[in-house]
Amino acid sequence: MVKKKLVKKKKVPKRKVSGKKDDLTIHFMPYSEISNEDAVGRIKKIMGIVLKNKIIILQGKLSSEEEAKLIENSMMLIGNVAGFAGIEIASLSSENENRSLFEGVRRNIAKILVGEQDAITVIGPASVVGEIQKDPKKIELMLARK
Amino acid sequence: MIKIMKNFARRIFSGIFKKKGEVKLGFYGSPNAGKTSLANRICQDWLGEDLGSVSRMPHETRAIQVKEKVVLERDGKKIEFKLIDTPGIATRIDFEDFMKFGLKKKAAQGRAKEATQGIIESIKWLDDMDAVIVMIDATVNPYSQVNITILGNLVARDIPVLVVANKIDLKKSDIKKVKGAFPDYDVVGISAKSGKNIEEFYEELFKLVKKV
Repeated sequence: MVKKKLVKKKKVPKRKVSGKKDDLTIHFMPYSEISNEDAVGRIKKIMGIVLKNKIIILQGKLSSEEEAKLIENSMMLIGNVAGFAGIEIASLSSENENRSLFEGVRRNIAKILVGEQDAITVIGPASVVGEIQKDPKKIELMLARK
Repeated sequence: MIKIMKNFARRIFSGIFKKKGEVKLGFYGSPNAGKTSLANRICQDWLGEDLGSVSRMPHETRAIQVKEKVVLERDGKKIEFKLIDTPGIATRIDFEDFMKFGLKKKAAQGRAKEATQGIIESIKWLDDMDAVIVMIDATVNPYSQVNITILGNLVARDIPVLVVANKIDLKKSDIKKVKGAFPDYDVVGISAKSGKNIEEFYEELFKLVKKV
């Protein structure tokens, strides 16, 4: 009888959210940092920072499709990255403000040419950001209780 | 531009090949907004049976649920729907939140895993809808990014939307706030649980289908 050689399976260590637990780091990101990236590049960059337990304040906003991809991506990481429970995201823009037709056209052209920079987006890991409360005029960010 | 053309082609082809009269109607929204409750209400009203189970615990629906051949009739006009109830979309899932509802750690972790997969599935199904009901819980702040992301994705795909403000039978509900948050959309307030305003909802649903 041929004895089967038992090969011990190498244990793959689970990725961990880096950064000290008690640290609170805010990363201010100018739009220029993501303007030349495609959707995948933008999400990769954002997730890279979020996984370091940092809160991002981004000049501008992601498109709705990019936001959906970001949510999808973070869902894939839950359970695979220790300590990661998703993200909190909120953006404020002047999109719904009443403005003249000319101003609306001007803004839309600017949006196509240089992206939506006239906005602000807050993204943070759910383990750090407990809750984001938003209304049309403000974003309130509550830290998670440790 | 490519995206607009792709959407246009998709709508033309789906229009040619889809079963005559069948409208794929999706229910989207945050967890516990009442998507399954409304889908159940429609199924009860027109089929006499439920589509899925509902619970106070979030993420009760963790997989897409479909009910075919739901025929609604109004003013002598019949429309056949395929109802697609989707898991609630959230940006965070923490298994410890489920433990607060009495689940053991392992069960909570399992539910969390299923919930994350459900959210991914919900997002993927966005491309397959003919029309969508976006459910908003009228008792909570409507300005959540999830609602805005869902609506933005539907607009980008040129899918007709009806915003339904649910739970208007509760004192805390504020339908004016929901209407104020989504001024560019048709908003109808209902209580899926009690059936309040359901006739107005059906009227709006028939108007929505005309846009498909």
